This record gives sequence, structure tokens and C-alpha cells, in this order.
Amino acid sequence: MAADSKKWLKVRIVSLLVFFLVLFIALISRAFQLQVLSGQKLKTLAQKQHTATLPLQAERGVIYDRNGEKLAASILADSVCADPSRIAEPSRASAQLAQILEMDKNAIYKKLAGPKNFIWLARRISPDQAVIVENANIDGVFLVKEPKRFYPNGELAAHLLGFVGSDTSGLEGLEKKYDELLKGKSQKHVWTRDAKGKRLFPHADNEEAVKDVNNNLVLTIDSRIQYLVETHLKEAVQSKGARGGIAIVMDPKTGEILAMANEAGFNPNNIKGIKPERWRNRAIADSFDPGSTFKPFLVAGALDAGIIKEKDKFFCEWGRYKVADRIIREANSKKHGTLSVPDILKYSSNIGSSKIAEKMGREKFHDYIEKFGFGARTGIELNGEAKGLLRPMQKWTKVDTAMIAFGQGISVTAIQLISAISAIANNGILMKPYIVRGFTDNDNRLVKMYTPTVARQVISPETARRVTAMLTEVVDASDGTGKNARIVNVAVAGKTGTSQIFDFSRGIYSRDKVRTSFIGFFPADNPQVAILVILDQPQHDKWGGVAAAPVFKNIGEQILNCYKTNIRENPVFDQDQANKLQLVAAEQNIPAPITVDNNDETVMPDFQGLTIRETIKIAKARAIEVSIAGSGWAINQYPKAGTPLTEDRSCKVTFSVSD
Amino acid sequence: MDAAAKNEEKSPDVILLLVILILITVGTAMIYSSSSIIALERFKDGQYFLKKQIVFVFMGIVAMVLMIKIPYTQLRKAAYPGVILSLILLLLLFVPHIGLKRGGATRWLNLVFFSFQVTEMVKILMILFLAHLLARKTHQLQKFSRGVLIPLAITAVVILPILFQPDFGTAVIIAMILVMMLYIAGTRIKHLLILAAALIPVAVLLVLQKGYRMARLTAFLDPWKDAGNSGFQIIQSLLSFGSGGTFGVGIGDGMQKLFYLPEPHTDFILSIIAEESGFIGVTIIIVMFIIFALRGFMISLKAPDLFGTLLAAGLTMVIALGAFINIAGVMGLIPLKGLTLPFLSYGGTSFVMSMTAVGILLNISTQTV
Repeated sequence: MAADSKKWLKVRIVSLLVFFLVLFIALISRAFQLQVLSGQKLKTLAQKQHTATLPLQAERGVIYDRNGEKLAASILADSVCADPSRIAEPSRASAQLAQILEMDKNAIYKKLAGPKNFIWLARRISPDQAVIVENANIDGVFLVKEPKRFYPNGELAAHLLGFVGSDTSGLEGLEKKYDELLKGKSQKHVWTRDAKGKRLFPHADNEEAVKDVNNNLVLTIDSRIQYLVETHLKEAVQSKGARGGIAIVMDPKTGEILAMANEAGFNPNNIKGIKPERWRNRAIADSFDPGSTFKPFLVAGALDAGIIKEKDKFFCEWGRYKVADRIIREANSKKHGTLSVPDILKYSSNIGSSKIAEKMGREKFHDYIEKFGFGARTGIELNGEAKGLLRPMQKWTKVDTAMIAFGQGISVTAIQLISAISAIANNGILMKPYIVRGFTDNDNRLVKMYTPTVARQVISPETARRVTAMLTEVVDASDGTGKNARIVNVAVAGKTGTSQIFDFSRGIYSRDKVRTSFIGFFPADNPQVAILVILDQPQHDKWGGVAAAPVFKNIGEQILNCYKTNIRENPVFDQDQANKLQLVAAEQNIPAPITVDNNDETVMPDFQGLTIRETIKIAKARAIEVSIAGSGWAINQYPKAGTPLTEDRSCKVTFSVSD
Repeated sequence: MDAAAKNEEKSPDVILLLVILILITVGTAMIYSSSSIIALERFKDGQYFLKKQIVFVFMGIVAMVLMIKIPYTQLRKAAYPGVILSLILLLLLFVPHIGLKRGGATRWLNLVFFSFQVTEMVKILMILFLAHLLARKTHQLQKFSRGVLIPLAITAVVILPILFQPDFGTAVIIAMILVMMLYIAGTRIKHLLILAAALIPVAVLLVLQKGYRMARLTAFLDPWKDAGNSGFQIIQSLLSFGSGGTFGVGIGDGMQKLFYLPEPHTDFILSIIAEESGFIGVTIIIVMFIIFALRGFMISLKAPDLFGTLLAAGLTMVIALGAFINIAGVMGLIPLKGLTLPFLSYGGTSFVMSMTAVGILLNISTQTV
């Protein structure tokens, strides 16, 4: 009995032991299932909660001009964001933030009380505000650096560059066209965090910040030429009372656009309240009747086709020529008798041109117009390019042919016009105009470089040379219509033009609303610069030779003086420059009264005593937009040195040579 | 074993002792690893819990050595006083300022310098009492009234204040120990089934009565349903296990202790071990408990008398059951109970009492026939 009960006791104990063994083996199996079989899945989930991710837009690529000057850049600005789950007292925090950020308290409260664990409160605030937010040290509210687009030169090339929206995506111009490229892939800011959301610095090596993968854009634009073109255009538009103006500078041999300006400009740093009309790049988007600037293409075509010879003479009907039911007159009621072909260009005879076109026939004429690139987009890398209007040749009446000969009844864009004149300058070869020279990567290594593209041979080199010679005469001859474009010691080939603006409300060409223009290039024997200037409805000096030609001349003169100094054989030494040289030598005598610590990034630096170059350098480093008046050394500035920098980072600096 | 060895004192079970020392070492290291961040935040001292645990380890070893020295048969004298002491202490918890309320439950006695978790001691005392009672009444066990009702009634009196703390987990453990000890002692299976049939509706009623118990149960059934709230703890624990994979992320390098897991150094210490040492580490820990159970039941089998057998089995089971409930809980196999993992979790009373149990076991092992 005792032995029997002992046996049963053993059985019971062993059965309990087995029971426990089964339990523990079940635990090991469960551990195997959790850790080995579905470990990876759970691990992924765990890592997800261990890391916090903040999507950040990569810093937008820089737009450079051809010399590496920054036209559009990104600066880092602070943005305020919050993790509402970590804010203990949303009402107090929102009151505090509302005061700092000058926002509505209730709007902030609504955001903070929400269920999300990440919200933006304010994007790209000023450095001042950022400091206050940082010092307020509100739990759950933090600052993130975000890139902000900045155009260091303000209005410079604004129509080309366009601008970006609040999320720094391109909305207009090159910013829009090359948005993907400049924007790059959005960056992810990843960090390890504990359950309270606190960032763990010992684990910083886990932070996998994606490297910037955007590109920088390098333009063919030369910002110095762009600047002077804009300056002269603006001055001309203002002094002639014009509604606006367009100017393009192009390298005729390559098709590179060196400058493209629209007046009036705008500041892409602050586009609030500017109407879309203002940022329309009229140089490519608007088409108009070219007027007399079209005559060289007629003559070039007729010569090239062998229809006329240079020596041919045309009777110009003493200023009154009837074609079908229409009477064609010369501009300014001039009366010409018999003119040779070069004279027709020189005096810009409408009747002579009509007769050439008549002789040439509409088929050939239309053919050459097309070959020069009119009626089709040039394919320049800008959005919104217009085709112009070239009606089908079958619809041309005799009057149409006669009028198109002097540029009425056909619509062209400024970019077509300068490309076409460049073809004459470039031995008859039409180049495709382009504005993007290439891309670089983040470290400014060249990724892609565009080379000039030949569109087609429009006329023979010989014809091109002949027409160039005639156009040189237009400017050079004492009685030439383009004599106002004359530049000392450089042979300029050019043509004036004035077209009446078609009045759509009345259906006729307006008599007093005109568009006056000048196209040309120099030096005539080896053309390097082609310039087009158009003034829209000038109130004074309506006729092309008077209003637009001097602008051409001023631009050309300055390009020759400053940048293409090798073109002119005998650079003139003028007294002005001699004086400046002396002053530069005396620079060290000028005390630089720097009272403000120019290393303090949050206040306006002291520019006084600095040269223009130094001023621009400091301002650029600080992302301040300076407007410069005068020349020499800075004598005055507004806002004053030491003023805290605000949203509007601009400063007016006056320069003077007299100390 | 022949007659020569009979009644001679043997040396204590070395393997059991070794297993316990390994568990203590691992536990102390992991308590430091898992608690340092929390300690740094709460007490500005990363070694706060480590230092206290080292004190507990010494106290535990002293308790163990003491129990090895006292012949287990002497403990029978403490059986009835033990039950009375248990009741007094359990009732004292309901006196304000003496009973400390933590996390919604009043489980600690305030002893000024340290707090004392009464149920940890009650478990051991109840086993001692049951072993004594059942060994004495071994011949009456066949009758339901004497064999089952008396131990059941006394146990119920002790469990009742525990349920009011509330400490459902410990109540369940004591009830299960009661059933298993009755089983070993030779109670009829039929009677045990009747007892189980009576206990289960009580347990269901108790679960339904308290909202959080139900929440724990639903969280266990589908933790992802309410991942942010009731399922949060178990999900965090499962993520810890998964993160560890086969080999773990390395001791000290776990992420889950950074406030993701609540109480990483007490209830969820195995989750941290799982994350930092992987499946290998978890298996080693479980194997240690298996060896412990094997040796414990071995001692029970070889005990010279029925009291020793019952006492050894009861102590082995209370620790093995505690380990199983904790491990199964953090692995999501059973609902979370809020019980510590013996020898590994931080906690003074639990540790000292576990060591006392080990001491008694070792003493029984020296008295083998």
C-alpha cells in the first residue's frame, strides 16, 4: 500500500513535471516564431517607431549665369513646426506662438489641439522670429531649416528666371521649365528617437540624410550684359514715354542668348500683387509686325535666289505706288526716285521693297521667310514661346505680298527676329537660339553642356556678306536711316524699323501707335554680337532710327568697352577713366568707418567706405538686395547699418567719387 | 543509493544553485541595461536600480543560506502562524499610509526604509501551509469535505484580500498551486474537476467585473485592434522580441527600453533580453527555468517525507508557474498579468522570497533519502 501510493505520488509529480516541460517548450516555440520566423516583419515595425522622418525639400539648385554669377539661389530660413502630442498646454503654447509669429491664436490652437503628431506652424520665418521661438523653448515646438528662394540681383533677368511658389516649386520662367531638375528629389530627414519623441544623439550615425540630388542650371546669359541692357532699356522706355520694351543680345555664331530683357521688370523676390501680365516674357511670347526690320530678309532672299542683283535699280514711284486697290507710301512721306538695292535698305524704302517682293513672287518670298525661321517656334528652352503669324502663301494677295515686304501683315517674335538677323551675320547659317548652357551637379561639376545647334543654311555665305555690307551702309552712311546706331571704330550692320500697331478694336493699323525697333550686329566683318531693341509705343521719336538705334548703340558701346574689349582695335582713352584710375590708387587713404560688426548676420552691415564691388560681395553673402546709385565709394545707405534684417532684405546704397 | 547514504546530509543540489546564480547574474546585468535610461530620467542616476538590486541580491543570498541551514522539517511549526501572519499583513494593506498604492493596486507595505510586497511572501507561506496540511491529512484526502474543502476554505480566506488589492494574477497563481498540490497529494481527480468547475465561473465573473481585465483580455486576443491604447504594451513587447531576431541587437543597444516598453526592468525584462540577446538569449533563459523545474521536481521526488515532497513541488511550481505566466504574457500567449519574472525582474520582495524558496529547496535536497 505504502509502496503503491509512493509509486502513484511519483507518477503524479512526473506528470506535473511533463506538464511544465510542455509549457516551457511551447514558450521556446513561440520565441522562435516571434524572433526568427516573423522577426523581420516586427523589426521593420519597431524601426518605424524608433525613427522619426521629416520630409524636407532638397535645397533648390542654383541658377548661374555664364560666368558663374548666381542669378537664383537658395538661402536657409527657419520654419516652425510642432508635435502636438508633446505639447502639454496647447492654449498657453498657442498664445505664446501667436504673439511671436503674429498669427491668429485660435488658428494655432486648432492646429495644436489636433490629433496629428507633426504640423507646420509657419514657414520660412525671419531670423529674428526664429531666435525668439528658439528662446521660448516650448516643448514640442521646434525649428527646421528650409531653403528659401532668393534672387540676389532682384529684377535682373526676372522674366527669364521666373519665380517659385511658397513650396519652392517653380511657377514661371526657367524655374518652372526646369523645375524637376532644380528641385531634385525631396530629402528625408531621419533620426532615431525614444518613445517620448526625443532625438537620440548617440544614435546619430543612423541618420540617413539623403544627399542632395538636384542640379544647378548654367545659363548663356551674361549677367553684366543683362544688367546694362536692362538699364539702357529702362532708361529709353522712360525717356521716350514708351509703354514697354524688349531687348535681346545674342551671339550670332552660336545662338547663345547673352541677355534678354523686358521692360517693365519685376522683382521675383516679392511677387505679391503683381499681375501675370507683368511677368510675361514678351521677347518670346508676343508677336508683332516687324516693320522695316524685315526688309533685310527680303533682300537677302531675293539676292540668294538670284532674282535681283545688287546693281539692280528700282523706280520708287516718288512715294506713291498703287498695288491693286491699295496705295503704298514711304515712311514719313518721303519721296524716292530710282534706288539701287542697297539704297532701298539704306533709305528703308517701302515701295522699293514691295517691288522686289513683286519681282520675287510670293512662292519664293514665303519660302525664304520660312527658311529664316519665321512662322515657327525657334525651340528656345522657355515656356510660352509664340509662333508668330505667317499666313499660308496661297492666301497672299498682291497687296499682302507688297506689304509683307516691308514687314506689315506678318507677325514675328523678337526671338525669331534676332535669330534671323544672326543668320545673316553668321554666313547665312541660322542657329537655334538657346539660353541654357548646361547643368552642373551639387558640387558644380559639369553634368551636361549644350553645344550650338545649326538650324539650317538659309542663304549662301556670299549673299550673307553682301547683305551685311548693305546693312553696314545703313548705319555708316551719313544719310543712312540707322546712323544713330553708329559706334566709333566698329563697323555696325543694322536696320531700323517702325511698324504700325494693328488696332484690333478698329481692325486697321493705327497711325500713331507704333513699335519702333532696331536690329543689328557688329563687327560687320566678323560679327560677335547681335542686338535687337524694340520700344513699344514711344511717345517721342517714334521712328526707329531715332528712338531704338541709340539704345542699340549704348548697349553695344558698353559691351565693347567692358566685356568684348578685343573687338575694337583702338580703344579710346578718355579723360574720365584716367581720373578714376587715380582715385582707385588713392583708395587706401579713405578711412573705412566701420562701426557695425559686419560679421553679425542678423543686422544690416555697414557699407560705408566700400567700393561697389565690395558692397555687392558683402550683400550677396548676406542675401541682401542692394540697389546702387552713383559710382565710387559708398557714402550713404538706407536702412542704416545695424538695422535688424527683416523679410525685406534690401538696402539702398549711394556711391560717390568725391570724398 | 544504499543504506550507507541514508539519513546522511548530502551537499545541496549544485546544478540548481548554478542555474539560480546564472539567472541572478543575467538578471542583474539586464536590470542595469534596461533601467539605466529610466533611472537617469527619474532619479538622475543611471545606476539607481542596479545599486538597489545588488543590495537585494545580497539580502536574497543571506535568506537562501539561512534557509539552507534550517532543516525544512522545522518549518512545519511555522505553517499555521504563517497563514495568520499572511492574513494580518494582507489586511494591514488596507490601512491608509501603511499600504502603498502603486499603479492602481495596493500591494506594498510601507516599512519606512523600503516597501514590502506582501503577496510574494504569502505565496511561500501558503505553500508551506498547504504542504503541512496535506501531508498531515493524507489519509482523509479521499473525502471531498476534508480533503478538498478545508484547504480550499483556508486558501479562499487568504485569496479574498488579495483579490481586493487587487492582484488577480497572484490570486490565480495561488489557486493553481492549490489545485496542483491537491493533485500531488492524491486528491481524487473527480474532486479536482469539481473544484475547477467551481473556480472557472468565479474567475470569469472577476474578469467581467473589472474593465481593465476585460481590456487586457481583448488586447491579448487582438493587440493590433487598439494598438495605441490597451494593446500598446503587448505590441511593444512583441516588437522587442521581433527586433532581437536570432542573435539580438547587442547587450545595451536595445531601443525598446527607451520608454517604448513600460517597466522594462520589472515585468518586461524578458522583452529587453529578447531584443538585446535575441532568440538565443531567450532560449537560454527558458532552458534555465526548465533545468530549474527538472531539479526542483527531482528534489521533490527524492524528498524523505511527503511534507518535503509537497513543499519542494509547491516551491518549484510557484517559481516555474511565475516564470511561465510572465514569459507567456510578454510573448502574447496569455493575457498580461503584471507579474514579475523570478530571479530576473527587478524587485526586492519578489527576489528575496524566490531566494528563500530556493534555500528551502536546497535544504530539502540535502535531506534526500
